[in-house]
Amino acid sequence: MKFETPSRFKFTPYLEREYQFGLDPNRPLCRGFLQFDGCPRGNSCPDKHLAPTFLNKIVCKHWLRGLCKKGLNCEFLHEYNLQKMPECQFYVKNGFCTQSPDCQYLHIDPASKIPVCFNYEKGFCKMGPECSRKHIRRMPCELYMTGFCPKGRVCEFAHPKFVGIYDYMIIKPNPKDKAKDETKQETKEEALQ
Amino acid sequence: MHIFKNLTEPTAVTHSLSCNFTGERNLVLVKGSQLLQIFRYKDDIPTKDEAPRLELITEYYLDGTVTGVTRIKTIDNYDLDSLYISVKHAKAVIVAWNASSFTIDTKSLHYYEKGLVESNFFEPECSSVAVSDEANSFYTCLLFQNDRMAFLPIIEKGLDDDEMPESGQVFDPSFIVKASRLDKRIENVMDICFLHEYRETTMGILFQPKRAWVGMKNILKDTVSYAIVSVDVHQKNSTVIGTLNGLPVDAQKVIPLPAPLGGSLIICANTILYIDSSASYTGVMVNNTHRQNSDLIVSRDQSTLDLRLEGAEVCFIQELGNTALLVTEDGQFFSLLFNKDGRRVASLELRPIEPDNFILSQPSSVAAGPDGTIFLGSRAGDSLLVKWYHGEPESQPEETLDDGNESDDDLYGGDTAQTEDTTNRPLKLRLADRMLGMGPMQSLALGKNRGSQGVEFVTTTGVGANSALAILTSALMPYKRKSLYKDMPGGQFWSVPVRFEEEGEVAKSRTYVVSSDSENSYLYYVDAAGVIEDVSLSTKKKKTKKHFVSNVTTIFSSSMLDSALLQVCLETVNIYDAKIGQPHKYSLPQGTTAVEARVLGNYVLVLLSDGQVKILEAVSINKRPFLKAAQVSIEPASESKAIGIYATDSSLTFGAPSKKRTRQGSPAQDSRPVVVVCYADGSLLLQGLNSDDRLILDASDLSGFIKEKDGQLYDAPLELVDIALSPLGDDHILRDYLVLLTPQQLVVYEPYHYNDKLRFRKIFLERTPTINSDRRLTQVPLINGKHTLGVTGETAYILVKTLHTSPRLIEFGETKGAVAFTSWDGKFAYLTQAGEVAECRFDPSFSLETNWPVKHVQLCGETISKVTYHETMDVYVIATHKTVPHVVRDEDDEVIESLTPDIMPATTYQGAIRIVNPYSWTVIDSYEFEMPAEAALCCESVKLSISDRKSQKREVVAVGTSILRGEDLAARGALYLFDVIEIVPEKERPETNRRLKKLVQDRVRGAFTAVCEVSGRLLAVQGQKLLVQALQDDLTLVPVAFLDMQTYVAVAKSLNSMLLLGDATRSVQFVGFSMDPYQMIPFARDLQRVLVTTCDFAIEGENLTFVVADLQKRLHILEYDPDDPQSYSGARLLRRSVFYSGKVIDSSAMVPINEDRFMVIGVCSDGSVTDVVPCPEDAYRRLYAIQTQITDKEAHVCGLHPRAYRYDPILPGTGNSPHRPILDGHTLIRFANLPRNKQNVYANRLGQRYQQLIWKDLELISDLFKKCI
Repeated sequence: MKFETPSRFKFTPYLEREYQFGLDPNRPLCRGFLQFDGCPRGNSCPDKHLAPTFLNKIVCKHWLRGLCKKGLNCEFLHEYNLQKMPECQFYVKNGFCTQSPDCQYLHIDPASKIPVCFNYEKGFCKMGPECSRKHIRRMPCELYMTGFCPKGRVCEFAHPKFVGIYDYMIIKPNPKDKAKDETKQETKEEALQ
Repeated sequence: MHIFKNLTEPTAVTHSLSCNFTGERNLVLVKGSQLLQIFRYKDDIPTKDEAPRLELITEYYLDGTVTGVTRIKTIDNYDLDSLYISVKHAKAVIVAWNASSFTIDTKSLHYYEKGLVESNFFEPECSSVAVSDEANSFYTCLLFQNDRMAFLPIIEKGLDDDEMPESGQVFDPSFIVKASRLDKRIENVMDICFLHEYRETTMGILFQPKRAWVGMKNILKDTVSYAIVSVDVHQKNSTVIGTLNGLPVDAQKVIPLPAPLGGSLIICANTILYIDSSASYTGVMVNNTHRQNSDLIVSRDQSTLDLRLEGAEVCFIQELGNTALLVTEDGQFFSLLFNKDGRRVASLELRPIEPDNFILSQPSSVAAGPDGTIFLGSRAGDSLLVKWYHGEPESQPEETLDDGNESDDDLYGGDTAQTEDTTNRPLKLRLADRMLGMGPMQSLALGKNRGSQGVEFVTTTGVGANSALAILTSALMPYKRKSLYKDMPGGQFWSVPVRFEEEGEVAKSRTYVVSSDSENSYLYYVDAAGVIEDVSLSTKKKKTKKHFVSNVTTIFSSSMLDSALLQVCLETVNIYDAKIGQPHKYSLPQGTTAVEARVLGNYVLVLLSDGQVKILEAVSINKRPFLKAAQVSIEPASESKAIGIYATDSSLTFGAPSKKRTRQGSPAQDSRPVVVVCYADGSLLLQGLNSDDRLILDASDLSGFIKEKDGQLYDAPLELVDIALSPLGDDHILRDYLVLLTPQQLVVYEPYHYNDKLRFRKIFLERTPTINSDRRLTQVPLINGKHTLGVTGETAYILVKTLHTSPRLIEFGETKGAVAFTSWDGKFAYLTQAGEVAECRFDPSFSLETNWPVKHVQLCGETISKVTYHETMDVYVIATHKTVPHVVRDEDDEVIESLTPDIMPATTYQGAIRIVNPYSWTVIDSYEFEMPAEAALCCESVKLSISDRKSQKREVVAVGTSILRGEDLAARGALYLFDVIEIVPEKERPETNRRLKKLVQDRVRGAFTAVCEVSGRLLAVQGQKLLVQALQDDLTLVPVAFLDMQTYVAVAKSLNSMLLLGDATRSVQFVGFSMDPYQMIPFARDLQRVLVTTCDFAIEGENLTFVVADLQKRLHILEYDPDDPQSYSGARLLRRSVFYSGKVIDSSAMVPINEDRFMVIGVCSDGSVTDVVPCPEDAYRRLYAIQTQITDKEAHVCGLHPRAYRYDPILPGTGNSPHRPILDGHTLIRFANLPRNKQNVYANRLGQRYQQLIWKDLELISDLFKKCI
């Protein structure tokens, strides 16, 4: 069982100043720090001071082995975060990897690469099951549907917008099926007569 | 700024001794090396098999680590035994019983600290062996640091003169002898004993001239020797009578055997040897490793038993003369037979004993008691008192005793002539008594209590088959609580059962409930369904309401004459008939009001505001009750005002206790009415109503023991809130305790007799009630078969006593408090502060034998190593392991054939994860690890964010394992994540509605030693690497941050995104985890070598401190303060204080006291729960001043000084650093148990303004669990 604990202590300002520790990870990047060689506000700057290498998206494979010579000028990320590894080329090509459990590169399931269908996200996709994009089934938020959800974006339920849905999008029954039904009915009527 | 305190007392027995200490057959126990308890074998309890039970006489916390207890006789006290208690760091204390004050007296102190070599490599713990010459009682000897012996010669009793020597001296001066002075060869002594059958004092010494161990067996074998040395201390010379060389290196200890058998036993790991008086031996080997390790030829081979004798205990059964009981460490019982050939012991033989449905593991000490009982003390689990008997009666159950004890003859109906026959009949053991034991507690989990929504503390206890979960609650939780009435006005209520007796009708009974606030009184009744109804709302009873006098305050109400209702108001006393007709009013004297009233039989005792006691008598005339002034009166004992009154039927005997009954008697029979009156000057009158029994006591000072008043009273007036003479205990032992309640404290006195006079001694209470003058003492009905006393208030308490404990205060776990207790029809009811009347019961499975109610559940017969609570699914998850034979494997897990298949294999562990349903406390699902010898090292329930985007968290159980393949191969391990899912239960088993589902299995090199949660990510320590891993959508773990660690991370704790990592050898490190970019920031570390067992955060407002417990029984308080220059701008943690706690704390948890104060609760290997409480600066300074006063000026038990105890000369850095020492809660609570004059003197030191605040400060250590109930 975990209890609610206080979050600020005597040394918290020091950690914030020295290590930028405990600040909101989603705070904006300090533009001054990136553009010029440092920010005049120094450690007291409320924005994020990141070495340029941290802005890169992909982990440097040489750095991981301790062999990167570029140091701060490297165009790849020098951070041990295997979520940001480059994709395994062998896996992309072949759908499997010979080094499977130990391979440090990302093995991304091809199915997960299919982009999400925007129409379905908005609330409706007329392509239905034949859509080439991914339809993720989610529960609509009851609060949102009845007017307003205070949670907004962080709500765990879907907030469908239902915009741009026109009459022509309505799924019509397949004309062939309809024709079949009609012929059946006719034969029945004939039999009755 | 921290206070260390024991929440529950140690329960693991470390030493035991049977002796005659108080004049009866006593058992002296030391629990957790610290708590000295003196028991009596109580055989007057009518049980089925007439086996004696143990009853606690008194107990003391010693400020020292006890290393041995033995008994001696001194000439000043030849009828009784004195205790020779050896304490760590080569100290010894001799204590004797003082019957007049019912306490122990310290006779002498013997400190040999100067003889200690600075640091002894082989004996860092500085344990010592204490032995005494039990046969002759001429000497005691204390062996320390392996080759130093401190002899204490006891002056012998002359043959003709009985009187003491003039000087009053009972000892000659003691002296230290190096072992090599006894004989040149003697070095590295392992164990010593005094042998019994010699005329001169003779010692058996087990020693090892050349150190060796089993691994060296090809080079060096059988290095242990045994010497029998005759010692003449007065001449200071010694003669070697015989030596025996070439004993196996695994010899452990030597046990002297009493005459007529004589000789001694040497217990080795694989053999048992018997050495007779001429140093020739015979032995028995108990497994086949003996032949490998030793060349010693042993006559008897019982190697098929496959026993391991490490940690085995032996107890010689004196009555049989040729048999001893052997208990191995894993709890197997054997009888060890000495087969005699003439007078010589020809051979030894082991015969297994099947115990009758009890389990014992890890015996720590055994003691033979009277009547064929043997006490088996245990380090893990319950300690047992067993009784031996001869089983398998081929003809008729018969018993033989050499001493022809009468009671046993009656018992077994045998006669004493048939000694020989019994040797062929197997010895059997039967359980007589069981003493709660909770050691070792290895893991602690906090869960939600299902009965009352509070917090329950679940820990693991025991080892092997004895292993169990112990569920502790900080208060006695109401169970099956039922609300009876919502808003009852007033702060007092009484239940009044009355009986209707109308002509022609069957007698009915009804319970009225009277309540009262400061202006009005109210009448209710309990209807047939057990619900309280307001009389005025019931149409039928309108009339009753009319006669009830409701516009006055009721002081007291009760039933009288079975069928009348008494109402004591401020100015009148009213009595009603069963139908609440017109009352008979008795007016109290003009100008006085009633303060308090009690009912005793037909009498009403009213305490008036002018200090007089008015006694009225109720009579029934024409079936109508009337009140009149009674004939009896109480002669005042003092000229001052009476301030408290109590009346009860009591079994106290004022004069000499009758012969048949012992001091406590068996009450309930022949109880007589007794009135207790307390006067403002502190004199206390005990007066038998209608009898001449009269005793005036002096309670003015509330001092240690009170006796008949003689001379001056303490002059400050006594403030008294309530007084009671209440029976406490259970059916086996019931005794009337005198309880005095003052605004600050509760004082409990136990009666005893000395010189045929009644005296009372104060019971040391481990906690004080919170300050509140609005309390009352109320008799409450039996709680789980125990007579208790309720203390009402905002925080209510219950005073409980059991056979094995002294009276203690247990908090009543009702969050809204209980301002009044009452009962009807055996129901327990109370009125909360909010005016709710509730009825409850108490879970009978909870034992009241510790300070906290505890419940034991045995689960699966395997050792439980870890426990954690899965909050979402409300189940406990445990990690267990069992012992399996070790199979040697190579790198690829291929089995290597053993070269010696017939030798008993080594053992290893095989683990499993199980879930326990907390409603039925049964295991409902298990996951056994696949790999051989795989066992869990850590198991934690964590809440993980599934991926970065989503805010919701998922609770999973993270388990880190290691594959225990021996030390030749690199460690491997695995990390598992389990989900607990809900399933449809099995038929007939509704509790099986949860199951484990494996989500992740990650096999890596290196063992997973610690896991915890940090900011929704999983922190796992894998070998010397720390990885923070994130759980992804596809339920795989991906590492996101990394840090190198030192040796072995034993514990990882997180607070928000800050981490405290405790290393098994390298102290703690304070680390931060930050996201975006993901990184671990090592803030600071401690550079000392501390063997961390557990660590945690303690919070007091803005101050965060780290509490670190280590294997050397120390507590460290560390702080992160980058502004302090000594911290090298935050790179090092600052050590604020070090404290010798005397306990190995194995696991801990942070528990809230209020919103911004968090304490650390730890569970210890000696089966106790402790806490470290952070406290505010001002209170800390006051308490520190009080502690200094008490340590410097008070006499300490056994002369052991608390400051010396907390300072360990062997361990550098202990002893409190001058500025910020940790306070010792046990010393502080002594303040509340001091006499009033001393309290005043010590509190005065704080200055007039702060005198009263000290009681408020004491609440800092006694009132901690508001948030947990």
